[in-house]
Amino acid sequence: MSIIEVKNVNKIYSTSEVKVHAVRGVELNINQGEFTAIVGPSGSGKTTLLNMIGGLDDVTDGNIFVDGTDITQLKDSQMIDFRMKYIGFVFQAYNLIPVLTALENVEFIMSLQGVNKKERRQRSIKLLEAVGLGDRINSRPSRLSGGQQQRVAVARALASKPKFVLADEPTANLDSVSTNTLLEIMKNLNEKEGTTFVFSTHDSRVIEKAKRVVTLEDGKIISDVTK
Amino acid sequence: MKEIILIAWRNLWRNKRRTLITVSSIFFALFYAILMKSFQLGTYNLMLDNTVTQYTGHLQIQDKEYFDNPSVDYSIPFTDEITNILDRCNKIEYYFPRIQTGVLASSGANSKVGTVMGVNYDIETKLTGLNNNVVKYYLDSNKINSIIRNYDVYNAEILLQFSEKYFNNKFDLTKELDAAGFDTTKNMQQIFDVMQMPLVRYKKYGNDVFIGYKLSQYLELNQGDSIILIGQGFEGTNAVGKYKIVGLLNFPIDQMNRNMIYMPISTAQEFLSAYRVNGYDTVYYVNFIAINTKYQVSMRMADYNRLLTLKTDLENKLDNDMLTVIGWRNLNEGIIETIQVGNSKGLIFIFILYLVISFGILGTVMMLLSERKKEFGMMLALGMRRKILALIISLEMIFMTLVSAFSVFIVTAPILILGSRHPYKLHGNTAEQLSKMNMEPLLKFQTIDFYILDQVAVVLVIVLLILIYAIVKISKLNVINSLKS
Repeated sequence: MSIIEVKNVNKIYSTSEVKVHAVRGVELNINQGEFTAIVGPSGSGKTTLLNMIGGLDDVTDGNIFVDGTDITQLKDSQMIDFRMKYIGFVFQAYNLIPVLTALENVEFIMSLQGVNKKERRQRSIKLLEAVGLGDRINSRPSRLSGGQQQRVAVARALASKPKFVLADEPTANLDSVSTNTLLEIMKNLNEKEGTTFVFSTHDSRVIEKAKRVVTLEDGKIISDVTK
Repeated sequence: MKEIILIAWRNLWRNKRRTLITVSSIFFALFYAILMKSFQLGTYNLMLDNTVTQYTGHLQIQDKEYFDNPSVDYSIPFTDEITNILDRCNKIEYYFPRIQTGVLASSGANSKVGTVMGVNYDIETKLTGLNNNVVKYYLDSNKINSIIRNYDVYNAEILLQFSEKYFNNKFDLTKELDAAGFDTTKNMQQIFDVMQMPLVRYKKYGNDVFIGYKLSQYLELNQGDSIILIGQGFEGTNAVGKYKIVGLLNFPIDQMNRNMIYMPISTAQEFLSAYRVNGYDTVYYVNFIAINTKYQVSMRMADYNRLLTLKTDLENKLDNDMLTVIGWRNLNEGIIETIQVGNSKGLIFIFILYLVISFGILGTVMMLLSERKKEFGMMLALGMRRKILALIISLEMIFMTLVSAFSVFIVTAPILILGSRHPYKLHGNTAEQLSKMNMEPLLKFQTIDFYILDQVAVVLVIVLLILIYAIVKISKLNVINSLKS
């Protein structure tokens, strides 16, 4: 069953001088439980496509359905709520809240959802243990390595029990050991918990682990391979 | 909400230096504004309280014509009927009849306009501390020279600068000499002994008068000399009299030193023929009866309105078409105007101060928004509503204001309490200048009161206005651009 349906989506960035056609007529369906990598060279439109799927950026043309809802029709405030309930994000630069501990960062999104304190504490600890940071729950991001921060970001992305997780080049700032650890964790979560992951990446190690690889070039899908 | 408060509080200490700079700027603005306001209120209240309590009274019973035409002809009879009404009113603390009229004071070839004040010396001493204004030490230049000749005075030139000056007590004399650089550890006893004026014991019903020391200088008179007073008496009579000066007065207000002549009220009544004989009875007249009530003198209208209720009550009880009761606001329009002008000037200073601080706070908010743009984008991406984001920033700024306000309170409270309970008496040039402006040279603070909250409220309003800018910025924040920043 498709959790994400991208239908003939175009994205044009206009400046006063030039128009950049970042995404051209993309059609893409992603099913629940997939572990998909969107790959392509720099400027191919993979981050733009990911941002549009996550409702962070508007489409110029076309529709995107997430769990049956056309998110291109949602208003800003509705989209914020939608993201909170349905989508988990992992950013390239981790983007943790620096004044909160690892535990509080994971709890944060659940507190926005109104989950009671006991439940969010239990779930956050469980998630941090799952990403191998059970012993660092009270550390602030500045006391964690890049790989550890990204693992906290993965735990945070899963905290809200999203329909899928969007990860924009999650390993770009990590060394090989951290990359492997992070990929193992995500792979396990995908296989054991059935969590859907969609990556944008040009990291070969990530591509190797992906079950499906969608390749973009000049804003168009040029191949879509399921392993 | 707890998480929001936690994030806001921790954010405050992310950039400690910037927070401390902002908190310090708010702190100093509040500190200066509170001290200035406190000093202004304290000084004005002191001036108002002194004038109202000691001279005009909270209320005055007058002839209906006297306010517009303060002539002795519009005096009122000081009768048992009136005193009975006043004695029975439990809101009245005390009352004091007064005669106050302009005269020509003369001695030899010199004449000068003066003001005769007919008072009850006992009440006056209790009320205005008149005895404290009596000159006790006069630094006659001949006597100074004799001290310099007879004793080994180290800094004689400083002592000479004090020639022809008058002092009411040893403390003031010592303080002034000390401030001028004179070595007050030596020769002070000789100075006290030689410069001391003869001890004065004034008589309640005697014909002796006290005059301001500057008037005495002008008329070349001294203690023990006689002064001639010429004026317009009651009902067209001539008022002429010759009185013995029993003492000189040195007031903190310069104008009073130049023209005041104090005499017992009975002497003033005789001098002005302020009485009427009806058969065997003689009814004595006074210009007005000043009344001090149990109400506090303050610029607050609520306090004054209570006084006006008493005024109406007294008018009804007096039931006399010829008499009127006037409140202190009408009796002291000049002072009220001075206070209002002073307040306006103060407001301009404080406005400029807060304007400068506003730009400081705005700078902080702009920097903060710019620094955390990416973080805000991330929070919006994760599902935080814009209004919650705005709330976090608002709480941060409010915390900063409250931390500043709390610190200011801790620092200023002891200064205000001390400065209000123990006014600092100014000496030297500053004191002289204030005296010339008819102000008492006292540095007095208003004690802790609602005006502190007013200042904090002003800063909070400034912060809230600046937050509108932050809220607009957050509402227009583009998630993608923020994440890319």
